[in-house]
Amino acid sequence: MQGINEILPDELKYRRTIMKRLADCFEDQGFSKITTPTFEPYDNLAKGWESYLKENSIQFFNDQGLHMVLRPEMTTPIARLVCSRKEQLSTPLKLYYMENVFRKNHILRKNEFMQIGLEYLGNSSLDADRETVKTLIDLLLSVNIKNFKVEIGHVENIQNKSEAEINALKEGKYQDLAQIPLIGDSSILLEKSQLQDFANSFNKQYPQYEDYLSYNLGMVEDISYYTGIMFKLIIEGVGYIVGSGGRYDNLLNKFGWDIPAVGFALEFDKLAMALKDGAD
Amino acid sequence: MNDKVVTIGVAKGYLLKESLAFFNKLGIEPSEFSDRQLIFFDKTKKYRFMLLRPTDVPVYVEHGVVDIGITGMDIIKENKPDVIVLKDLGFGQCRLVVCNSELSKNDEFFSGLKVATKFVECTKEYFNNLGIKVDLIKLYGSVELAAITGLSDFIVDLVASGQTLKENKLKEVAPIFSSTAHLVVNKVFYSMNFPLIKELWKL
Repeated sequence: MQGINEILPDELKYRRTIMKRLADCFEDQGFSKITTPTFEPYDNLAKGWESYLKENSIQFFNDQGLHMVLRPEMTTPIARLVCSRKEQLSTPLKLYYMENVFRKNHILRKNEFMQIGLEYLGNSSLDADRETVKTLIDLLLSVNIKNFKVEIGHVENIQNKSEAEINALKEGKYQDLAQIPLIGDSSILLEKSQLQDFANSFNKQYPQYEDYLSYNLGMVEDISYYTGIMFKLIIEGVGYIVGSGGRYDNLLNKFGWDIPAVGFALEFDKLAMALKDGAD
Repeated sequence: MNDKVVTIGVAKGYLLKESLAFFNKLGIEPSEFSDRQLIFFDKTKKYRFMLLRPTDVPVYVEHGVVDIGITGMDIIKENKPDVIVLKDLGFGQCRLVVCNSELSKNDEFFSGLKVATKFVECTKEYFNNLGIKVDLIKLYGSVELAAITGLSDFIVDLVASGQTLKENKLKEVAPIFSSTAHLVVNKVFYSMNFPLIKELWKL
C-alpha cells in the first residue's frame, strides 16, 4: 500500500529530537502551539480556499451522511478555529503547529505527512513579516541546517503583469516569457518597492541573517490567497521546495474576523532529507 | 554551492546528438563514452550527463536527481511535471496526430470510438475539448498496429517525417499539437543557480 505513514522506534526517536528543537525555537520566539480536528465538515473549511481544498483533500461521508474532509493543511483550520473563538482571544496571536495533514497527489507519494508552521495573526506591520521570516531562519539553524535560502517575492511585483505572463510564471512555462524574472540579493530590488522596505527593515534588524535571503521578482503563488510578501524555503541538496509562506490578509475575514495574517508551513519529511545529508 | 557537480539529463535516441550540441555551446563537452554507459562526465568534471528515456527526464528533474534536462514538449504536455520549462530548443520537431488506416472510410469522430495511444492524457484532453467521449486503450509501443489490426478505430501518435505512417498504410486525420525539444530545470536548482540559468536562457 502506498501513501501510508509508518515509523519505527529509532526513526521516531530521531524525529522527536528534531521536533523538540523546533518546538523550543517556536516557544522562544513567543509562539504557542495550537491544534485543530483531524477531520471536520467539508463546509467548515470550504469558506477558505475552496479550489485548493476540493482538488487536494481526502474526503468522505460520516455515519450521518455529512461530507467530511481530512485537513490537507493547517492554515485554514486554524483560521476557522480562531475566528469561532474570537471573543476569547486577543490579537496579536502567535501560533505554531506540528501536525499530520492528509493529501492526494503529493510529490513524495504520501497521503499523510507532518507539517510544521506558524501563523502570526492580527499584526499587519512589516514587523510581523520580518519576525516570521526570522523565525523560519532560526528554526533551520536550530537543527544545524545552514545551506538554505528563503526566497522572497511580493504580490506587488506581479500586479502589473498580464494574465498570460502570470500563468506562464505560475505554471513554470518560462519558454513563453520575453524575459525571465531576476533572482538575487537585495541589490536587484526597485527603490521604493514594498520588498525594498522589507529588505531594509530586515537587514537593519537582523544583519547576521541577510545572506539567507534572496529575492525573486517573478514569484507567483496563488494570488487569490496571498496579499503581501510570499516566500519559499529552498535547501541545498533537497530537490523539492521544503516550505512556503507569506501574508494572507483576506482569509480570516471569510470566517468572520477581519484580522491580517502572515505565516508559513514546511514539510518535515523534506526537512529531514537535509538532516540526513549530514547537516546535523 | 557552485562547486557541486551539475547533473544534466539527456534523452537517448533522436534527441541525443543535438542535446549534446546544445551544451557544447556553453563549453560543456562530454568525455568519451560508450553506448551502454548511463552516466558520463564532461571534460572539466563539473558536469555529469545522465542518459534517460525521454519520458523519464522530467521525472528525474522534478525530484531534483537531475538538475537540468532536455525532453520533448509532447512529454511535458502528457505528464505535466512540476518543473520550470526554460526554453524551446527548436530541434526534435514532431507532431501529435490522430490517424487511422488508409482503408478506413470513416474519418469522423463520435462518442464511443476506440482510440489507442501512448499519450493518454493528451488524447483525453483533445477529445474532451471536442465534447467527444472515447474509449481509450493505453499502449506502450508500435501503436500503428492498433489501427492496422482494428484494435482501435483511431490511434494518437507522434509523427516526425510521416514515413512510418506511409509504410504502414496509415493516414493522418487531425493534428493535435506540434512539439520540439525543451530545456527543463528543477525548481530548487533554478533558484540556487540563477547565474547559470541566465546563461542558458541567453543561448
